[in-house]
Order: sequence, then structure tokens, then C-alpha cells
Amino acid sequence: MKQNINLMELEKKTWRSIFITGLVDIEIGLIFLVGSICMIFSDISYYLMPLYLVPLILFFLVNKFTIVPRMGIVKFSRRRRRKNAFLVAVITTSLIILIVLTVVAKTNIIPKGLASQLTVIAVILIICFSIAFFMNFTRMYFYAFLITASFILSDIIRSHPGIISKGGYAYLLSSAVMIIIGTIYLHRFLKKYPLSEKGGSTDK
Amino acid sequence: MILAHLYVVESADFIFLMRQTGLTQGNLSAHMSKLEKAGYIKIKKEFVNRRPHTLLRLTDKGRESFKKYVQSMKHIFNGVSERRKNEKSS
Repeated sequence: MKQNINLMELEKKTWRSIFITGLVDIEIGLIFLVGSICMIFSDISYYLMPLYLVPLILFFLVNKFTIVPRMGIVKFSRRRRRKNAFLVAVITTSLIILIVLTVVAKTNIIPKGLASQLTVIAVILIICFSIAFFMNFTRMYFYAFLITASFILSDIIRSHPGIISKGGYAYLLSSAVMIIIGTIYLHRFLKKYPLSEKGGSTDK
Repeated sequence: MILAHLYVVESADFIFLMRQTGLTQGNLSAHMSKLEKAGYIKIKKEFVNRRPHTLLRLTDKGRESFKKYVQSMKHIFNGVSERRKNEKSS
């Protein structure tokens, strides 16, 4: 009997199993959906900020009552936790750069142009590719291009307003794609892993 | 397979292990009992939100034994592939 155990591949496969639920895709999609709503209704965007809590609360509830009872609980190794911590550092740094760029753009210290747009695109790609690489979340590579395309489209809409004048509409499409993909994965997951009546018991 | 899955994580519960290994509840329970008796795994049973919850982790003995097993398997397969290469070349 052949037993070629590749532990690194097994660890990656075990880690990737948390993404088969599609919940992360739905979560990212919902965050972008809320963001696009805030951009479309920019006049009242401050009052819409609490909407960002909705994806977080939904994630917590779905994870606790739907995913965990079917998937189980796992505590990953220290190596994986260190990798995630490094990723958090990369994302935090990138977000700080993005916030600084946004503030600089609003105060017109540096004139808006191709250079600043390319910098934002680069930051978006760095964040998304980092998530994809460090978390072995391969769908994030696709979402990276989706988000970048939405950014470019929103810029075009703002520069050439016609029927649609708000750049936020561009993000509606990408958020819809992510939510649909996540929902498909979630549906498959729920069908494949029905709820166990006994839970985690081994009692005979 | 159970030891391999427990080796790459710090701990996992019964349901997670069942999903990852593809074993049935009864099958996994039987293997778990044997592994616990051999001192390779530690089983912690508790109640979480009034539902029984079983947490598993490898013991130090289990980790060392599995590590030695993987190394010996690699050694065997390296030897087999070397022999095949020599046979082909001759």
C-alpha cells in the first residue's frame, strides 16, 4: 500500500477546508456591498456606516450556528498562526498607506493623476495577493482583479458621468459576484455536510 | 491518517477530524480509543452549549512516533526509487 505523506500539502489542505464553506466570500462581498451603498448615497454615508456591522454580525452568527456544528473546531499550528499574524501586519500596513493616500487625495496636497491611481491599484493588489498567498485562499486572486477592475470602472464613471454618476455602482457588480460564488459554495457545503445529531460525542 | 491530520494541527474536535479523514463516526471512535490506549492521542470530553464535544490532540509520544514513522517511510521510498533508477540504467 503506497503511503506518500506530504505533511505540508496535508496542512494546506486542512487549512483550505475552512474556505469551502463560502462564508469568507460572502463576507467580503457584503463588505463591498455596504461600501458601494455608502458611495452611492454619499450624502448620508456617515449614517450608513453602522451597516458595516451587518456583515460582521452575520459572519459570527452563521459561523457559530451553521458552520461550526457541521465543520467542527480546529486549532491550527503555531507556524500557521505566525503566518496569519504576518499577513495581518502586511494588510494593516497596506491599509494605512491606503488611508494616507485617501486623505492626501482629499486635501489635494498631491494632484490626482495616473501615479496616485496606480499606487492605489498596487496597494489593492498587494492586500488581495497577500491574502491569497499567505492564507492559501486561491479565489482571492480572482477577487483581486475583480476589485481592481471595479476601482478602475468607478474612476471612469466619476470622470465621465452619464446615466450613472456615482462610482459606487462599479463595486455593486463585484460584490454581487463574490456573494453569488460564496452562496454556491455554502449551498454545496450544507448539502454535503448535514448536521450530526450526536454532535462531537464519541459515547457509544 | 488520523495521526497525520492531528500532526499538522494543534488540536481538532471529533467532527473536524471526521470531515477531514472521511471516516464514519463509529470507525473514527474505534480508532481513537486504540490510539488513546497506545498513548498517542489525548481525548478531552466536555459540554459546549449543552452539546457533547470531544477534543483531540497528539501527545508528545504520538508526535515523536509519527515523525519517526514518516522519516522511515521516506527512507524506504527513497531506497525503492534509487533501486528502480539503477535497474532502468542497467
